Amino acid sequence: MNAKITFPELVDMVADATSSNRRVSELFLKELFATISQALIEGENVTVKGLGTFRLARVAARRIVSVSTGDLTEVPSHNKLVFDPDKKLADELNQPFAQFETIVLDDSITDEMIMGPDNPVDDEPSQDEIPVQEPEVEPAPAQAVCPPPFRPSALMKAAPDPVPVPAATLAPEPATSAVPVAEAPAEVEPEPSPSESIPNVQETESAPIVQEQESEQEQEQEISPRDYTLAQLQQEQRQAVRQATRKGFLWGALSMLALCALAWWALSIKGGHAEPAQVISDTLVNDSAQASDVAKEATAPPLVTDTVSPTNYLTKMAVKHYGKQDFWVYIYEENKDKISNPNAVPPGTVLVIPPADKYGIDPADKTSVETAKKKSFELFSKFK
Amino acid sequence: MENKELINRISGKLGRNKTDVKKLLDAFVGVVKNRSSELDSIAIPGFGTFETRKRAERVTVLPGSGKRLLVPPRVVLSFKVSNVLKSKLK
Repeated sequence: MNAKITFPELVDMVADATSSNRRVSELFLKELFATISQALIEGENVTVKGLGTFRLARVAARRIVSVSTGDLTEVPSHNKLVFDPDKKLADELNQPFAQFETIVLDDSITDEMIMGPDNPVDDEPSQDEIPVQEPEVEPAPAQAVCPPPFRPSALMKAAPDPVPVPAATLAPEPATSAVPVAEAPAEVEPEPSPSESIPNVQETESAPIVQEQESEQEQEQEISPRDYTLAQLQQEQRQAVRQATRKGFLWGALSMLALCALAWWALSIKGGHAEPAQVISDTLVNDSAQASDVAKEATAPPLVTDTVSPTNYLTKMAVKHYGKQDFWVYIYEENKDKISNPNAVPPGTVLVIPPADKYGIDPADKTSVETAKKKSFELFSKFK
Repeated sequence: MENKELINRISGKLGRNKTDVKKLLDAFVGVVKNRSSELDSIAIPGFGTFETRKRAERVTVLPGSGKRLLVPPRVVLSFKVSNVLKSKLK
């Protein structure tokens, strides 16, 4: 079925069919095609019984317009080899479809009725599949070097870092009690000094990283309870932040302290390791610049990352984290510096999944979905 | 050039008798037929490729009467001439 038979194979087949040796059959076949070719070159038509007729047809000179340049060129008149299969052979080959006959269609039958079964199938997925198919194309090994959006990579590096914080001692807490404990020290502190807000800024940007890897079952088992607590913690954080915006910077700072405590707790479970000195210097610089943004940034829940694999690409991640594939554009936007072409992200690339509220992602909201769709079309036209 | 003439020429060149050549030619046609019915393609260097193709069903309109015909799908044997022979034939 659909195999390609080469000349030596053909020689073998003919030899087998005539129970003669290979040499005879090879000589014969070579001579056969040489003879036919020679006859054709001399302008003769050749008919092989049971196979068909090889004949020459004259093609008149014609002018063609080059599609790319628009130039007009003339194709000179030439001969073309035409093969007409033997009637009997053609019928035998067409045996599977022999029972069908050409039908004269009534006027009552419309094109839609004929194409009916095909059309809905073709049309429906076309909208949805465009975003799916494109990223499926397997990544070429290309790494983008784009200007980073706003997140300095130094912070990423410093992520798993035990920063000295008063709440640190309280670190390993059971899930349910974690939140009250974390907030308790925050309230004790009257005014957060700059040094205390330092780890906070750092934390909000690069907090507990939830690695998702199917292969490591053990890790998954560990993560699942932690995930649960993280969800709770995030909620607590948001509440705290709401208060902060209402009651001013003092409260904001307090909530940050709470966040800090939570981050510390999560990190210490993970067993963080990195040099604290670098973090502080990094964050000190950032702190002065971002002090006003701190409250806003505090809204960002702990970073979630995901690793690209042949079966886990942008749209898949979007479905997993946001519930709708159209939101893949935001994952792309968050990781612009790591993705050169969203259609070809190299497997193994670790992507940051931005929190849903950062880009106003809401699968239940039509306008949100529409904006994402629009963005994805723009991106596609850019990368096509 | 008809089949008989072809056999004559080949037997003359090979120095074999016509019955042998006819047997070989029939065997070749039989092989093409069998393989083609299995949708295989046969490539002959310097000559061309025999391949079977599926033609999808289609609707055609008779230009004279404007009647529309539903043409059923078909399996056809096609021959694609090799570039070497094609340029020689020009």
